[in-house]
Order: sequence, then structure tokens, then C-alpha cells
Amino acid sequence: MSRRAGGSGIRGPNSALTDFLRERGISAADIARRARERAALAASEAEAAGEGASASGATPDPIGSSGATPTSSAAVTPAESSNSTPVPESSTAGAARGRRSTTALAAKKRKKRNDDDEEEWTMYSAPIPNPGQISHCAECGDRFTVTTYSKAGPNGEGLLCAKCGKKVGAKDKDKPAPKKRAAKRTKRDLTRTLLDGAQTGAGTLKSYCIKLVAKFIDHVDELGDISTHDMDQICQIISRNRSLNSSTLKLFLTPQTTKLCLYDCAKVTEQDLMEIPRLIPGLKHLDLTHAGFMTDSVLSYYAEKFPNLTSLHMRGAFLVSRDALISFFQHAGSRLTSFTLSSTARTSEAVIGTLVKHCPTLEHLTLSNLQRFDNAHLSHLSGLRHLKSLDISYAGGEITDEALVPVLQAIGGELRSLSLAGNYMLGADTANAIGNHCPILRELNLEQLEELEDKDIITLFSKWARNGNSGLVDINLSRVTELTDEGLAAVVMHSKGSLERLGVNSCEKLTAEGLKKVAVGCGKLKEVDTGFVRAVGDEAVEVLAGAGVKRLGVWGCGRVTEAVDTRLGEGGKMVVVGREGVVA
Amino acid sequence: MSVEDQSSVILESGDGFQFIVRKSAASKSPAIRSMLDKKNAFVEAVENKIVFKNITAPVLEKVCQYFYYYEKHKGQEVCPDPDFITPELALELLCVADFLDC
Repeated sequence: MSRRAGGSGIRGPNSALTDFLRERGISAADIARRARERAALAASEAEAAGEGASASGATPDPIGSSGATPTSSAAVTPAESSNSTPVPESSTAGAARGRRSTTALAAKKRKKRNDDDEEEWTMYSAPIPNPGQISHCAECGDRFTVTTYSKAGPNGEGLLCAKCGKKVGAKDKDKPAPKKRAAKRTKRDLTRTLLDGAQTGAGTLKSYCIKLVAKFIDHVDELGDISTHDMDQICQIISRNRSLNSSTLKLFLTPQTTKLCLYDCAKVTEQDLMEIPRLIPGLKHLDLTHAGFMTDSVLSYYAEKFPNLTSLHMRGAFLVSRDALISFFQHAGSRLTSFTLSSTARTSEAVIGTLVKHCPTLEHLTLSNLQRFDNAHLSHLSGLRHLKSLDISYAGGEITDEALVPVLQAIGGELRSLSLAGNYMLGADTANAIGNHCPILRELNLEQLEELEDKDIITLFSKWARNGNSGLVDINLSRVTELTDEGLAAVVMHSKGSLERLGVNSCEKLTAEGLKKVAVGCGKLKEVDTGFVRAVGDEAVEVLAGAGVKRLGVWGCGRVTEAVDTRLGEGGKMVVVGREGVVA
Repeated sequence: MSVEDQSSVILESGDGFQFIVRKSAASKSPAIRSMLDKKNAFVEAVENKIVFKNITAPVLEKVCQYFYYYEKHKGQEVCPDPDFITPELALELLCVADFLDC
């Protein structure tokens, strides 16, 4: 009692229910007092009427509306009243159900009020009828059925019938709609921006316009005279929104285009694909992702109708058959300098053989995620002497050193970029061959080559140091789990002057010291992924930021805290992606 | 009319509307910045007024609004997206933004 009465303002811990009741000015003591008074009054009345105190049920209900359980006023003794009133009862129960939201409680109380304790509750507020009940309109007084849409009456008392509600609604409509508040950017939005690698803060007018155009792409009749770069940006955004379809595709098919990238062709039908050569006969570069509607007839049509096509990229074109690919290479192969085939099972030795035979000028070749690609397929590639970049990542079949080494021996001399990601059987011999036969390589992806050991990496880079490779720009050693500081030191020793991107995700044997040496050694380093390298802590991050690394991935690096200082050496801030519970 | 105050510049649209904008804000656009550079001695720099024949007033107004929006939020990590760009003008504005390089 002393707690409740306290004028000192000091209160102990209490439940959500107690809080709620105090807020409403409801006190158990007051209710009990009023009940006692009423009982006393009723008793004196009964005496005055000359009857016994046992005339229970004879007294009319003070409110006269709750038919379900008429309250017997004479029978209410102080002790009973504290039991029957909802407040004290629920406040004891409230301790157990303290977690329930106040709204749930309010709803519950409303229900209870309708059941048995109407009189107690009407003292505090007029009852608001539930949907489905019959009520009287506060304006015209007619009976009507309450719905969830019933409007509150004037002065907030009672409800309005549908007719009066409509009138009020019409008046409301005349008023100007309240001005929309500028959408607040949530933490989630920020995280999304960060993961997209986008800049935070105020963007350019161009970027805002592009976003808006992409949002309302369905209402655009013509993109008009905008630059190819902006057009590509719009295409990227609407592909991501999955709104690239037959109608929006037309916007990008302008006759002067030479390069067309469609990043999501899932809704671009066969007819639409056929339309492209009709509208842009001079196309040189075509890139189709998720090209599930691409069929044999489309590909043969392309071979015929694109006289200038030098670069074709098809990802997810799983309907295109082997024979169609072969005939495409036979017809159009001589023009091709860049070709991608990815995510399909319809390849064979014959397909790769024809590719090599009929595309002698090929410079960039990507054959990734091909379910049937294996050693036998791979060995054909020796014939492509002009290849500058080769990507055979995530082959579905068996790719081993025995098949790859001769290929590298044959074509390695011209290679600038090589990706062997996900071909987990490759090991020491491959590393050796790369070192021996690829003297001008600039980008190397060895992700998930778990057979590779630390000493293989050291051999590779020391070989390069000897045979005059001028240094890598991009190296990905993610999930080369045996990599240690020494291996990384060899990388730094060789490529310190040129390295810009480094991936060492999940190389758990690395230490913070090793990474600090990387930061100190490589002046041009811009992007590093140290995800799941557990040794990385605040100090390592700060050293990397000081060295000018613009973007750092630290997913799963539990030692990186919120307190880390990410200011870059030359001003600005490093983008740190993946800190636990931290946004930017 | 010319602006005596050298801290502002008049931007005039093709249909003759004039917008007086702080130079500090208008300099967001490298194109405008170089036009106003005294070293280049363009007419624009001397008169302190730039006429954009191909830009209409509604679009130029949005551009000016953007200049102030950018000046206000420059350097902030979290800022609301601008609410003044309307979908009807977005494409035209995109071309202009491309021209002004902002």
C-alpha cells in the first residue's frame, strides 16, 4: 500500500497490467470502496422498504442493459466485490501474464465488461459496441449493426450508422489529405544499400532519376535520348525488380544500340528474343541472363540475322540443344571473340570440339556451371591459342590436374584472367602449371580449391617472381583452407605493387599479423574479403582502413566490434560489410 | 537584371524563367562550375547568369531544388530520398542531369 500511495514518486517493479491500470486512473482500492458504499446504500434502502436483506435479485440493475447476468446489488459484500470486479482479479493474474500487450488486455477487458461487470466499467467510459452488435446512431438515433468500418460519432461519443458515416466521410475527403511524411530510412534499408555496395548519403540527381524511372517503368512509353550507360542502369534495376518483360524490353531495343545486356530474361519470351535482331540488326554484344525461353530456333535465327555479333553470353539457356549450339558455332563462330555458356546440362565433347574448331578468334571464354563439363571437354580447349580470359568455374564433372596442366601449357601464354573456382580436385600440379605457363596473368580465382596447400601457393608466386609476371590485380583464395601467413606473404611479396582485390574468405589459418602485413605491403589494395577469418579484430580492420582499403568484408569475424575506427587514411570511410548487429 | 551579389547566380530556363541560386549550391554541377570559372572568361561568368536554352522551367526548378537538397545533406551518412522529383519529369530530368553531370 505504501508503494502505491507514495508521493515520493519512487515505485518498485510492476507488471504491464499494473502500469496500464495506473495510466487509466483505475485503482483497486477505489473500486472496493465504491462497492462497499453501494452495498451499504442498498442495505439501508432495503431496510427502509421494510424488507429483509435477503431480497436478492429484486433490485433492478442500475444500468438495465446487461441482460446476461443481472448484478445482485444486495449480495455484493466487500469481500465478494473484490472478487467479482475485474481489476483486482486480473492484477493478481497479471503478474503471470505480464508480457501480454496492453492492447490484448484492453480487448480482453472489453469482452469481460460485456459479460458481467458492465456497471463497473461504465463509470470510466461509454462502452464501444463490438462489430456485429446492434447500436444506435449518435447522429440520427436509428438502430444499426456495428461493423469494423463504423465511424465514431461527433465529439468521439458513440458510433454513426452507415448513412451518417458516409456524410462525415465525404466531408473528410474535402479536406486536403495530410501531407505524406518523407519515408524514413530504416536500418534495414541501410543494410540493403550497404550490401549492394552502393554509396550511402546523398546521391546524384541522375541516380535518383534513374531509380524513379525504373520504378515507373510500366508507364514509360519511350526512354528517348538518354545515354547507353543510363539505359543499362535502368535495365539493371528493373531486372532486379523482376519487371523486365515483353513491354518493358521494347524500351531498350533502340536501333543504334551495339551492346545489349538483359539481366533477367525470365519473363522475356521466345517471340521477344526473336524481336531483338529485327529491331537491332547491328548488335555486337548480347548478354542474356536467366534465358530460359531461349530455344534452338532463336539461336539459329541469331546466327543468321546478327551479322556483326562478336560477343554472345547465355546464362541459364537450358533449352538450347547440343545440335543447335554446334550449328550456331558452324555458322557464326568465326565472328565470335567472346562467348559465355553457363548453367546448362546440354553440352558434350562435340559441342566444345566444334566451339574450338569454328571460333579461332575467341579471346574470352566462360564455361561455368556446366553440369557435364569434365576432363574430356576441357582437353579440347588447348586449341584456343588467342584466349585472354578463361573461366571454367564450378564444372559439374571431374576436373583434375592431369587434364588442366596440358591446357595451361598450350594456352597459358596469353591468359590475363583465369578462374578455376569450385573445381576442388585441382591441386599442386595446377599451381605449378599456372606459375610456369601463365606469365602475364593479372586475375586469378582459386576459390574453393581446398587441395591447394600453403607451399603450393608459395611455389606459384616465387615462380612468377622469377619468370617476370608483373603482379596480379585480383586474386581470390577464398576457402583455400590451408593458406597461412607465409603463403599470403608470398602473394604480397610478388604482387605488392599491383594488387587491388584480395579474397581470403574462410582461410582460417591466417592471423591478424599476416593481414596487417598485406595492408602495409600493398599500396593499391581497394577491396578485401576477410570473412570467417576469425583472427581478424578491430586492430586489423583499422590497419586495413589506414592503408586505404575502401571495402572490407568481415562476415563471421566475431572480434570486429562496433567501436572499430573505419576512417580511411586519406579521408572518407571504409565500407565494412557484415559486422554483427552493426549497419554501417 | 543581374545579380550584384557575387555569391549567387541566375539560372535562366529556355522559356525565360529565372532562378537565383547560391553559387555554393549550384557548383554541385561541374558543368555550371566551369561556366562560372573566372579563369575561363565565359560570358556566363562575367554576367553571372547562365541561360539554358534546352531546359524548361519546371525541370530547371527541380534541378535547383536538388542543388539545395544536396548542399543540405552533403556528407551525411543517412539522408531521406528527395521528395521533389515527380515521375512525369524524371526522364527529362535524367537527360538534364546527364548534361549537367550532377
